Amino acid sequence: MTLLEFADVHQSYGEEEVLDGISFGVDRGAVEVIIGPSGSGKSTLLRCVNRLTDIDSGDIRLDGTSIYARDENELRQQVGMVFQDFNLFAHLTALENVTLGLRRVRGFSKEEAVADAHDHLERVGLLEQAESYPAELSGGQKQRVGIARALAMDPEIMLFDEPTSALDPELVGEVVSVMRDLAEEGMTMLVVTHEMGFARSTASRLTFLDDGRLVEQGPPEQLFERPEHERTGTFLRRLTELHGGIDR
Amino acid sequence: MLLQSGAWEYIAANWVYLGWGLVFTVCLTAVSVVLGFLLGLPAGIIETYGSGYSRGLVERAGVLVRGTPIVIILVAFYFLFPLTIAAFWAAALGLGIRSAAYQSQIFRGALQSVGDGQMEAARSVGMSKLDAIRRVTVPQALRRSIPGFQNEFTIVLKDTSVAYAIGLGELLTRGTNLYLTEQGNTAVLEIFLAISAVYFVLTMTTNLSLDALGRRFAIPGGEGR
Amino acid sequence: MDRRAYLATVGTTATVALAGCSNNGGGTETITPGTAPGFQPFEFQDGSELVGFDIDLTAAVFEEMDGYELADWETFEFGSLIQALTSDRIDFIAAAMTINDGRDETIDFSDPYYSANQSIIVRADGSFSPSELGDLSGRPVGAQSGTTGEETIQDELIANGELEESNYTSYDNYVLAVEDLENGNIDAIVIDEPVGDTFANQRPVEVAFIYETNEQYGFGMRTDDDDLTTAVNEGLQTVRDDGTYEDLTAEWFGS
Repeated sequence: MTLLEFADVHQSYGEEEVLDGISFGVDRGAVEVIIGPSGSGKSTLLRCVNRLTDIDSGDIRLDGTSIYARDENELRQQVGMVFQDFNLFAHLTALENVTLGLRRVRGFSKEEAVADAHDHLERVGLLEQAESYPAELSGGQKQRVGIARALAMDPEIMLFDEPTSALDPELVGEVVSVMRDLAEEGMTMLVVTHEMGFARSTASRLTFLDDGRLVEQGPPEQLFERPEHERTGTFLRRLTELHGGIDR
Repeated sequence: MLLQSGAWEYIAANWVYLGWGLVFTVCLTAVSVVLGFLLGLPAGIIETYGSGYSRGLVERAGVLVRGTPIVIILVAFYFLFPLTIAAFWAAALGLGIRSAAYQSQIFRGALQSVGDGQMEAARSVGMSKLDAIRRVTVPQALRRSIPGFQNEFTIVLKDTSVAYAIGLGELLTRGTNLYLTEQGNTAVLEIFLAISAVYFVLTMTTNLSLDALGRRFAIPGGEGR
Repeated sequence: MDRRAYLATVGTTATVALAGCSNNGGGTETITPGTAPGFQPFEFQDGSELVGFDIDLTAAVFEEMDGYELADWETFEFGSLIQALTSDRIDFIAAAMTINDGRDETIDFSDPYYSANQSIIVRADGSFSPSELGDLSGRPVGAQSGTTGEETIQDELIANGELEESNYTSYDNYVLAVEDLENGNIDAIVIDEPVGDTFANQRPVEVAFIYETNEQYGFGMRTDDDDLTTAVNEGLQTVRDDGTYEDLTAEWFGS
């Protein structure tokens, strides 16, 4: 059942066309991994879903309703986002990073928020770091707090914008592990990443974007072993060399 | 010119007169800086996050106020204002509004230095723009504004002496009146030294206090992502 | 008429008559006087107290004026006094203010209450002894900004090229000018006669000569306040006639 749908989405940054007619659907519970060279529009595509960036034409529908037909803030509760640069609230503890949304957006009382936040932090393995400030955490820990913060909103879909690209290699594993758990629990995920290990093992479908266009889409094995387009194959081979097919 | 002991006695003998000058100076500085903050922070926020009409209005008002000599602002408030207000309040309004025009730039700079990502993350969990400003960017910006704020305080303190133009008996005016006398005119240097010392103490006190405030509210570990 | 009625009638009439007398003119008008301290002996701060010739003379004049009462003095910087008067902050200026055409356009002056000239003061132990304004040519000179002394230098020397602009220094107040004179930074100051005398008594400076400007000080009032101006002039005349003026002069200008 389609949860998210892109319908001929066009987006330009000034003169430059970033998304050139993207159309596809994401099923509920699917783990959709988007790959492509830089500048291909992958991040922009994600940012369009929660309206951090506005599309120029076409439509994006969540649960059948256009994202432009509903309240912006309400939409964003349903669409959780995890950033490449973590973007944790620097002046708040890990716990407060999670409770802020619970209290200010979902209207939880202080006690409810703290309890719920503890659960989420535990889920990502960071209960002990609840009182730590972002500057005191490692990159992997920060990203996991970011995931907990997004999950606390009880979203229908989670967007991951290159979640491990800013991490040292040895910290990537802890984040990927959390993402894998999330997928297994049935969360619908749209992930932009270079982590081929994750793509191969957890993605339900791989989408290759190049120059703003959807080039190829299909199960991971298909794109890795029998790509329809030469560009796909070239890109994936280069990516595998750099980021390995090792299952981390 | 040698410092004369008679001069210091003259100053000491008039400590009540000078003391009131000090009171006026301190109160005027405090009220003006606070007024500047109450107007300047919203102005800085509007200049950073506002759009269109309101933003243009605030920007233009700021340029106008910053470009007008402070004496003219004070005289305008005291003599030209439709309501009759006491010299102290005219000075406080004038200095306060001018301070607001400069503080808005301090806060605008500080807000802009808080990365875009903070605002994006706040919006992405569904927070309204206003809430994001209030709970995420402003708290961080305020901490970064402390040096600029300390600076602004010192400037306002020194500017209080322009209140002489509307006859407010603040410290420098009173000191001047004391040496413009037969008895006091040989004590000019000592009077200037005394007043400078007072200004110095006031400035140091405020700077140290704001430093302490900054430490109290500092983000542990520094300004991380 | 019986005795009681007679007394009652007289009593009532007397009371009414007395009441009528005290209500004569409909009450007193309160006048706020304004001045700019820092000009001994006309107005200056003696510690917390504002004193001076102008202060005492004003009090004496208003004593003679029926229906007018003096409120507390308001102090301003000299340049703001006229503005304060025209915007109703004060009603009366007594600040050794020279009567001139420029000011007369904005305010009304009372009859003159003091005649002053400018004195030129120099270092007592110096070799410079000018005897007329022309002698100041080529020398560094100073005066307090906004005063007749400055005007004299501008109009009599600079305007006809006898003194360069760069040789003239304008000071915020005359005490600073005297400091510079003593230090040797300037060679002469043009300053009001009474003030110059004060310094000559106290410090190593002396009066070289008097430049007669025959300027006169007047009290300042709003142009639409004719009643007040008339009353002040009458009061001033009384003060002169009954010797009070002379007493005050002796008190403040006697050396």
